[in-house]
Amino acid sequence: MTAATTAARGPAGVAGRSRDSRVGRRRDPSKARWWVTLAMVSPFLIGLAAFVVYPVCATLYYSLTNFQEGSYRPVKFVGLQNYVDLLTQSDTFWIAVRNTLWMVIIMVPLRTLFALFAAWSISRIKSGAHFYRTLFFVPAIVPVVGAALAFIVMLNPEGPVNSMLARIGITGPGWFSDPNWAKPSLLIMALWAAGDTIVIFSAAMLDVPKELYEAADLDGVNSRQRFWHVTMPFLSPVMVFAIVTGMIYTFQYFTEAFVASGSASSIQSSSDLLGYPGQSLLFYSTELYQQGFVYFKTGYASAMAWILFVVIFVSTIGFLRLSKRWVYAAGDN
Amino acid sequence: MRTSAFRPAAVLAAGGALLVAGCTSSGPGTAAPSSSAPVSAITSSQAASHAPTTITVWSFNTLPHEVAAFRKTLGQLHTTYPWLTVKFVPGKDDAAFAKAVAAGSPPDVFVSSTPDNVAKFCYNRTVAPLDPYLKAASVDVPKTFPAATLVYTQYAGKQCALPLLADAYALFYNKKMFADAGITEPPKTMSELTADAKKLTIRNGATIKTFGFVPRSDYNNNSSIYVGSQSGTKYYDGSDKATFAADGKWAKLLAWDKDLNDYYGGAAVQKFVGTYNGHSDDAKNALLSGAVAMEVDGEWHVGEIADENPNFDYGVAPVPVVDDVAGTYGVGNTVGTVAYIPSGSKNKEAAFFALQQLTTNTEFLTTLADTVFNIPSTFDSLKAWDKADDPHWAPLVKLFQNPGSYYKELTPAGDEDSATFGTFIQQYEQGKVSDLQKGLAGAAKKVDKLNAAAKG
Repeated sequence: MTAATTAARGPAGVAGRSRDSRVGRRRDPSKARWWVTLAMVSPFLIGLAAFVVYPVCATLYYSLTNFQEGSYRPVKFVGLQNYVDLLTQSDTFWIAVRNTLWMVIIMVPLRTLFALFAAWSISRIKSGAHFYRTLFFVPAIVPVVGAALAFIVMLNPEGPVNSMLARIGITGPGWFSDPNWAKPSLLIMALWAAGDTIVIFSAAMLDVPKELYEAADLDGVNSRQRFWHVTMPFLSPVMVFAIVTGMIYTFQYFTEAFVASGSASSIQSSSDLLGYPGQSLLFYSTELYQQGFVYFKTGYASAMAWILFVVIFVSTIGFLRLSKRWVYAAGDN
Repeated sequence: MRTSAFRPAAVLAAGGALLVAGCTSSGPGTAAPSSSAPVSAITSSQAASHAPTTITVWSFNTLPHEVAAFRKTLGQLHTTYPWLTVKFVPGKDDAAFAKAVAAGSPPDVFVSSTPDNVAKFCYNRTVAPLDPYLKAASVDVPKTFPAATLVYTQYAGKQCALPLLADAYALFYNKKMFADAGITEPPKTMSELTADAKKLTIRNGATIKTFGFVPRSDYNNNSSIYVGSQSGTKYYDGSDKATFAADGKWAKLLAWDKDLNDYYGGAAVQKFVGTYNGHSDDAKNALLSGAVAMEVDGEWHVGEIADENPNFDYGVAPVPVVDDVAGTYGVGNTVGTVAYIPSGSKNKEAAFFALQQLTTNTEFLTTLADTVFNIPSTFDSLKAWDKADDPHWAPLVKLFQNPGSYYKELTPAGDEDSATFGTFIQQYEQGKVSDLQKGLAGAAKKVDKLNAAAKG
């Protein structure tokens, strides 16, 4: 090693150490950062582990056992028996599936279309649009239980709605107390509370570039063409969002049905209450609740939860893939 | 470099492994608390000087006057036995109880509104059999509690719970409407009930102003007609198989139900049920408002009527029975509140001491019965009860003490069996079952499967 080289490096044992230590400092943080980072994110990780990973893991395990809550009997590993029993032995499971699918297939599209129509109507109002937007949105912030109770009062067979219908010569139905009308009654309630989706559609409508409308006007399009060829493409991503979130919510539909059933029945016990009348309001989540928290069949209910998860996951992915065919994204031709 | 990259992953993997271990090692079904320890009861002499003990009592009650009655009695217990402190927690149902047991922190005594899970809890060892404690305390069960209460507090020969007040279901009828229709006494058989119902029905053009009797199973407390006592049927035979198809009296009961519903028409009955089901217990109740002349209700309705319309002129009689078993008239469906000691209680002896006071103390039972409009559940409290001779209460007390009165047999399936049969009855009433016998066989098969699975 030459003197020049040594000089260039600076005083031996000082600059060298200094540079090494600086380099070390640069490296050490990167080496040490993993545990610092882990410590920083540990509150989240602990929460995730305790409240998501563990329950998910536990329900998967429970779904393969005959575990009953509160039981001291030895838990047996039953493999896929709970799943087989659900799909092949249970009537109530399939009743719940049918009722839930009815809501997904009927309620989600209707609610989305209603919200779209309401948002479009509001957008055409020259003055007072804010007022109507607020008016439509207010039901969405009413607690679900309160809203359900209000509808139960209004839709009582002798209630105000049927009284008004009687004045114009129409005999009102039994609404929540009639197996044939219970789900449509929930549908009416869902439309009433569509304010959240209306606001999203309204915002999306405001985002449509005005130049496009002006260009369309110059081309002499009518209002229908204007809506379908200018407004709708810009709304399609919002529509996908509304349908996907609506679908996920409806697959897990619970509170409204639980309250409506409870109020319409004479409530002898929880098992009489759920799904009343005539199991027309027995939805997947209410059946899951019944199996898990009324009959304490935790293993069986866990299997139901996993089936629901898979169905929601597959439906969401499937719908998102299908939607690519008709959703307009910025930059598309 | 490799070390730094893999360390976080290793730590996370270790955490994940711990989680998986947590999921799969202990989890559910922990060993039952030992029951091999010798059982003793706290005698009156021991109760005078016992080590201070605090126990927790959970109850389903939520209404302020009911909670106050419990607190008062438990407070008196503490005054009499200062070593015993009772922490009373109202508003707890069977689901909350099962969760507490699963979490390893059950109360020492649990009072449930329904006996439907007695067999399930007993079979699953969720609750402790009380026989050793009853024996140690020299409580002669058959001489203390009426037979009707033992049906729904025992399972497989074990006393799994003790009754704490009882319910009895009877026919409530409007005396004025009976007189106007020329009916001198309440019906005793289903045929008589149908005939009287038709006489009492008042039509107003196409609509029905007053129904004689609405039998639909989901109306008010009508489900109590379909548990077996009124048709002389038991849910299960000697081999624990459902009898819905095998015992022809079930079909006769359902045929009677459908015939009377059809007489009114499905739409009219639907409107009636929809209108009045939500008013079972208030002043708009169908019987009180004149919309129906007869209805089946529980004994608490006597108290409700006294509160809401004290001048209402009504009678109470046993619910009629199927014609084939006319000789059994006077029996009824009886059920009640039950009290358990969980297997996991850390203070079983003190818990039993409190339970014994709650379920056998005459003053407490009669006071609570007056408070919640129920029937006292011991022979002594029935004798001491000042309402036992009341014209409205007497028929209820009588049918409660009738040796033929019973509640459906309990099984480890809980009330899933009665819910399954109840669903079938509703489907039949809605006209969704074309072949009754075949439908009954199907319902029996489902219930048998449920019971087999519950024991699996």
